Amino acid sequence: MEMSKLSSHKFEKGLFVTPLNTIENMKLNHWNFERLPAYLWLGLVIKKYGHTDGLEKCFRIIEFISKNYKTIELPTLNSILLLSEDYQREIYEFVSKHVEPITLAPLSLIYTFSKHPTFNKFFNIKQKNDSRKEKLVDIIDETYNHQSEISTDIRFIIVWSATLTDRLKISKDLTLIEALHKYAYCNHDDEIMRLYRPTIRSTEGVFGSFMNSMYDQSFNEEFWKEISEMTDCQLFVVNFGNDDDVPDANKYVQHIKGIGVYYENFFRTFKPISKKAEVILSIFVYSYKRLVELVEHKLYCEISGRTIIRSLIENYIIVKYLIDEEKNHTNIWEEYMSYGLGQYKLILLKYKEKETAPKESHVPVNYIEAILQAETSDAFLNMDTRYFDKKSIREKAISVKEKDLFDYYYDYDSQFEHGLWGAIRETTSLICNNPAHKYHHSLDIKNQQKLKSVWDDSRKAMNLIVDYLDQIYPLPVKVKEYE
Amino acid sequence: MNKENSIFFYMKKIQDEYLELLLYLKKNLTIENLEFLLDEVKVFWDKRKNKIHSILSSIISDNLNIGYLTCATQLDVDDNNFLSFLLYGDHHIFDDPLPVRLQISTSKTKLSSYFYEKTIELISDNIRVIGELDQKIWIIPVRYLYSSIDTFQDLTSRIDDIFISLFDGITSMNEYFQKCTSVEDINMNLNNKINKTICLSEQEPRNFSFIQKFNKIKHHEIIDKLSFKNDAEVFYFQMRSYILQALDIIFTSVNSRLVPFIRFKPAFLNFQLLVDNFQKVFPELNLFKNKSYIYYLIYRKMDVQNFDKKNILFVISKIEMNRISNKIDSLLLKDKLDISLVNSKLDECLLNLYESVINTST
Repeated sequence: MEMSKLSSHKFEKGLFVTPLNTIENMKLNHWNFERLPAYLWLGLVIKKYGHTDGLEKCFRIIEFISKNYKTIELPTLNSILLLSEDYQREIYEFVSKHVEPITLAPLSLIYTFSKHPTFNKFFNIKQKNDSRKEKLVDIIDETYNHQSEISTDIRFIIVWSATLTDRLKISKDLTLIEALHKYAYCNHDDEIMRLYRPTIRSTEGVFGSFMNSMYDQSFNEEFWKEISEMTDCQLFVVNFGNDDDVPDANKYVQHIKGIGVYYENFFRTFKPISKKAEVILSIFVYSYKRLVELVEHKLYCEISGRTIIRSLIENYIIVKYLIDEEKNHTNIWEEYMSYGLGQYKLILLKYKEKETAPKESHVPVNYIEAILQAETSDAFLNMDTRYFDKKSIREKAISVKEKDLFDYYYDYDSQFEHGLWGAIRETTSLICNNPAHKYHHSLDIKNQQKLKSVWDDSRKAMNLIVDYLDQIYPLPVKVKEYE
Repeated sequence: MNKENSIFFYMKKIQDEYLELLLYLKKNLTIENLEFLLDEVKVFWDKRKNKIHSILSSIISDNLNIGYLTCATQLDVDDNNFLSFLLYGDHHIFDDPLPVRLQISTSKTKLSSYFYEKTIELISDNIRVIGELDQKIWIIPVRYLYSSIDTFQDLTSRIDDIFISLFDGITSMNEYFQKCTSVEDINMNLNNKINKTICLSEQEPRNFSFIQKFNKIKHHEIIDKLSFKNDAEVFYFQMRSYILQALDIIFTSVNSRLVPFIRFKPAFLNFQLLVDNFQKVFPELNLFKNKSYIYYLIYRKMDVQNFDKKNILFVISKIEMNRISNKIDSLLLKDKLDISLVNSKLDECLLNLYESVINTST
């Protein structure tokens, strides 16, 4: 199914609302969770006898039920199982005349003898090789998607039954009237079925949402619980990348290191007391160190790889922002340093003043104190808990005309940095391919799932930093050149 | 602690659900319903297989701290003999033979009615174990859930080879049935060492000859029902079941990492005998073998008369307080068991236990 367009959403107070969610009382109803278990028995009949023969058998059974048992409005298994044993016996005898009893045997795994003895006496047929579980999983697999052929056949039966019992009255929908007469006798390959199928599905969908009371949710929950317990997870790992598959990474790191060596020499020799050079070149080296981490530890396809590229992009935006804003500040470089040291001061004071502060942690309290004492005068160092220059990274990106970097990279990588659900789902959830488990997720505790490599984008981000620095502190061609 | 998320809570839930099913079986078991109820029991355990695996694998320690009492027709709550089982290991399971018992009962063979009666007794005893023993012993069909012997088709076909290896000068089953019909023939052809050490039944005296041992089993109820043509068939049937059972226990133990406690003497001795053949493939079997031996030794040594007229849960609490796992496991670290050391340690532990039970009023 095609995704809805961003432009079709309504933006209200920071929230993009989808078109359907703007309609009052509209709610998602699930074919597979809320209605399928009640009709799976018909699915087994259709699967066994095929589209036309299967539907004809279902017609006969449903006509019999609707004629003789007025309390049953729709042919749901839950309503049949609630009938007295005598009534159940009559129905099962009729079903057994038209359908080989073994057809419904898979359901005896769910509806066992202790709770449904009559059902079992008719349909729990002993087989040499018990394949009930496999058959049950197969039919769930084929009907799980509400648009599959068998699902549409079952949904046709629902619509047909509803018209039979007058639960559904059709007045003007000529396509539906035609479909009710011809659907069972057309092949799924016939062109006309491309019209019938969506008509049937949409009718059943709307009808289903009005007939919610007919579906016993505890019956559905019990069904999914029972079937999920008797089958194993079929987990598959999504593996987008290979951490070893980056042949040029070391060569590139050496190239950036060469640039770093040049800048270190340049800074020490020509700009030793320039705050601007110190800030910009330090940010460059910080970026380089993150790049080295990426390469030395082969983090290309790991979560850490994403936090590294996010850091590279942020460093680039900050450098560009500081340069752009230089003209608007007396000394933006000192402000930037003070902002960072102020953050450190706040952390230090919490450690020193709060009794609950841990005695042992990875925070080097004494070292932070030494840095602060050496760099600033405590009496004049504010602690700003807002964004630097009161602008978020998004606003800074817009300001330096790099919003695309924010939209297409930084925003995505931030999900990983903050452990938001999308990132957790992508990295940590393994998909279970077992329809009986409702395609649930399991946990990638073996760390098998590999993300798409960040290498190419990290290199591009690093190149952006280098190219920008080259405009500020031009690099000799020999240093900049990369073969 | 949130008890509802504790792994033991889930085990208790399974045991409670099983109790519910057993009560239903007790009320509704009839010859007519047998097939459906067999299916019900199998489906019950199939649905809980993953949960059992998950619970047990999360509490099994490297030194194999869970034992399962296997090859027993029932635990028998009225008979204090099961108490010895609780003295060793952290958790204890009765290997419930109900699925197998029901299977045989539905088999429409000469044995089905015999096993049908035994099944009824087993259901009642299981109900009491869950109802009265407060989760001290879990009831789980361990071999049903863990055995993989069926997947080793080569192996099951080699049971005959193992059987033939008991003899000198017999190389095939055809030859066995040609050379042997009477017990005297079997006696003549059996390997000398086997002839002396073979164990065929629980109560046979040590000094019995092979022929005396054989005659003791020849008229067992099951053997009688099966109406064998001659002694050779009886002996083959008996040994084949013992070998199959021993192999089943070996594979179940390897798969489950649970230690078998086999109190039925022939089954225990056959397990001890056969397990050595698999140690090259599964080196960990040495520990299973030694621990299984310890269970058996405690069972033989424990004088349960000391617990007569005492409240069973009180006795169990004393047994739990006097558990010997730490004292004994240190002796098992060596490849070979120092039997005399183990014996003296066990005697000391048992004396402490008796004193602790006798000297405390319930």
